Amino acid sequence: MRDDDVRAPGERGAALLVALMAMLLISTAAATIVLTTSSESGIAANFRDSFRVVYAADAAVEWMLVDLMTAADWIAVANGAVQSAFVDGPPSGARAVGGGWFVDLDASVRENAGRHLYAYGRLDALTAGSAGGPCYVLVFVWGDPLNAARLRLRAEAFGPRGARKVVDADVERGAGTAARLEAWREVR
Amino acid sequence: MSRDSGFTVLEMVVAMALTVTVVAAVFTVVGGGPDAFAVQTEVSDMHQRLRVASGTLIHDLMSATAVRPYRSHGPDADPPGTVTSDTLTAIGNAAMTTYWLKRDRAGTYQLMSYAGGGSADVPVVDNIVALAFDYVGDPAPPTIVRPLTDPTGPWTTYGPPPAAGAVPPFAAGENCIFVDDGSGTPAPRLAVLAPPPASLIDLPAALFSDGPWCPDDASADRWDADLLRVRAVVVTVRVQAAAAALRGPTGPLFAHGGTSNAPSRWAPDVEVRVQVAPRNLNAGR
Repeated sequence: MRDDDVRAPGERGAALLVALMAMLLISTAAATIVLTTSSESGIAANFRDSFRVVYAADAAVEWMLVDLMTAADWIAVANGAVQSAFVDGPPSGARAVGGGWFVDLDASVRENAGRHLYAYGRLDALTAGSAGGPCYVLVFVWGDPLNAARLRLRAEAFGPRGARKVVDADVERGAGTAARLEAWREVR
Repeated sequence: MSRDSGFTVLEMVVAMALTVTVVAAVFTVVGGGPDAFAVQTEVSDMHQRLRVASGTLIHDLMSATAVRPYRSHGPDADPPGTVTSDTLTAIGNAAMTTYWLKRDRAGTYQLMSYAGGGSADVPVVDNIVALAFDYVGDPAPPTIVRPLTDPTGPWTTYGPPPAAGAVPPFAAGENCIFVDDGSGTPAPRLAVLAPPPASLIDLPAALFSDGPWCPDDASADRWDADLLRVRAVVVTVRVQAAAAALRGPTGPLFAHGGTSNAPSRWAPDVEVRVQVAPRNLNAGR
């Protein structure tokens, strides 16, 4: 203690203690807000991605209505003898979705035994780089044993952070070569 | 300077000004912290409730094959012709679910659901203070596009085609949306709501309670044929802060006022408006 220090010995360091406690309080509140906000951002991103892949799967179904208009023989499509022009290589291996996420085509084909992989690729390859976001879509087809003019589709869409949605649709050939949607349901 | 010389007035004034400034800054930062903490946590919870409510409704609506603006089934079903802006039944291929807003005198506001049969009414999300369903649809009535004798359809622009033979109470070539006017082609019973080239229009609620009725006028579970026009449903959902201490006076920011008078402790209601086009209501087009 210096000669000119007039404080009592017990007061030494009291200001430091108060300052540290105030900083601790502020830091705790700030850290909690940061944590809450980052959790909120993550939840919102998952919510966005889950809807994005639904619409990606729906877009794949819509695109199939156009694609199937050019297919002369739907029986060949249902049997897997014909494949769409929208493919990005052999139907096996891993494909990048974006954001460090991948799709395992082999696993998807195994899950859809009895259905034929008709089309697959990144959605932005169909939409010419529009703001669809990173999505990978697969479309499986199979026939309706009771109606040769009807095809059943399963569109699966994958997005970042494990987002995945599956849409089933029934498509029927109308007059001429036009294909029309008859039924649509979200499977998962 | 000797030990007893003290401070000048100028030094004291400067020291006090600095002290007051620093203390005021500290109190400003520290004082707003708890408010921001409380509001931020509640806002996150409100957003989550909004996501659950809108996500549930969107999911069921996208797969719906028909919609009814009332509770259409079960022991507490509304009578035919009822139109309630905060109630919707989404009818799917495998299930039908009714959603509505529950408001009681105890101040409970909940999005409720009923899945049919003997199931109970189930709360989906709490503190939903506003729920509204508006309908967008086709202004043109259904028309016959192919002879009913053709083996493959579609025979109509939308809606069920009439049977070639008589199906009581309808004569041959008639049903709840078509009438035989003697022209050889069944004519629509529904009116033209807007001249071409109008594509989709807002459908007024009164349209759903004036008939004609399907499957027929005497059916116990009849529904207004104008519901076949529906192509999209506009869903409005509004949530409020659960704690009254985070709600201010009733007004534009708060549907139901709370106890807080300090704007720094307000978590205003959050509202979303989503238009959903049920895919099966647009099938075939």
